[in-house]
Amino acid sequence: MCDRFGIVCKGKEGMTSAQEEMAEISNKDNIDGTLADALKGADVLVGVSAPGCVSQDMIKSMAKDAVVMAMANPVPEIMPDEAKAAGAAVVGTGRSDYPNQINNVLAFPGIFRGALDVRASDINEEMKIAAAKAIASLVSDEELCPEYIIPKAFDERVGKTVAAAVAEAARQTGVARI
Amino acid sequence: MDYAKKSLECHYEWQGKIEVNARAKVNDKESLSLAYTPGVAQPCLEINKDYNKSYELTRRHNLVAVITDGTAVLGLGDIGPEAGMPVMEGKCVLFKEFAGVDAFPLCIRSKDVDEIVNTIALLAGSFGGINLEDIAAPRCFEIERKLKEREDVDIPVFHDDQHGTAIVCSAALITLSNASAKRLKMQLL
Repeated sequence: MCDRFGIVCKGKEGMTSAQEEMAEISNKDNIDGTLADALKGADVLVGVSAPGCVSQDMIKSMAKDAVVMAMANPVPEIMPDEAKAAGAAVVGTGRSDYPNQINNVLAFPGIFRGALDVRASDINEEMKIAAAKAIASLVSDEELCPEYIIPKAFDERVGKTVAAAVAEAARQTGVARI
Repeated sequence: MDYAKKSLECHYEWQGKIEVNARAKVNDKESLSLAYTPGVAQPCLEINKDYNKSYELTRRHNLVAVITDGTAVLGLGDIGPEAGMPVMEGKCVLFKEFAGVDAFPLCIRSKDVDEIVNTIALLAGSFGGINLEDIAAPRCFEIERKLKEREDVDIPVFHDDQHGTAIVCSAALITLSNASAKRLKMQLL
């Protein structure tokens, strides 16, 4: 995990308590360095940062057939065509005018629908994982391709499928109250 | 299309993207006495006996609060609670349109973690869930954790900017880790 100054690592100057906590999970070897260092040989980039902060050289340094989720809005960390030209196999963004839009609207309506339906006292990790699996389940093997790895925002199946999975996970984890 | 210009025109025209609708019709003395006093005293007493009845006798079962302090609105930063309201209203529209969930926007005029936590906790009895929105890091982590820890907040609390994004991104990575992805040389795991 990186912030604007590079790899998040324990004891580094300027780390917030949340970053210290994350470093314990994401950076056990306490490696310091830049974003470019972090991307070398990486399979996946999950960007929720700032426009244009990832270069084509950084993508080239990633593992072969890398996956790039450049979700800064409205201008991603790297534009999809640039990432592809630099060797990325799959690119997703937060935008509706490119393939693979990573849009929260796939998750939160169905999650709350499911939680409310069973009068849940919490939205716990199991419910969140159930939501992710439910969304993924809607992309069939036949449909899956580099331009379609996630359902579209207006896919009407999503809300209901997520709600049912979340409600079931709430029941199984004992937070459902009806 | 110039979304900025067009959207501003739309917002002037809409004068707010959501509104409250009455589900009970009140148009004569009898219906007034049922929806309001004196009849309304009876559901009040039922809830007084068992507060879980608030889920059956009021709209609480379908109502989520969308709450911000206006400190991290979109990529615009700390623009203040009132300026965050168009986003909160938009979120409420999506709740309704995509899942039939009634959502109500609340913008809190405070940047103090404990004050925000306490404000939300005090309101929890009116809602079936809390969606935190556009609150700056790292304060957002602390606010969510403290709310989840409080015993008087017995409804779900979900910080969408954090978990919503993580869930959808995870979904994408899950599809890329299945067998078909291998066939396409797209497999990750």
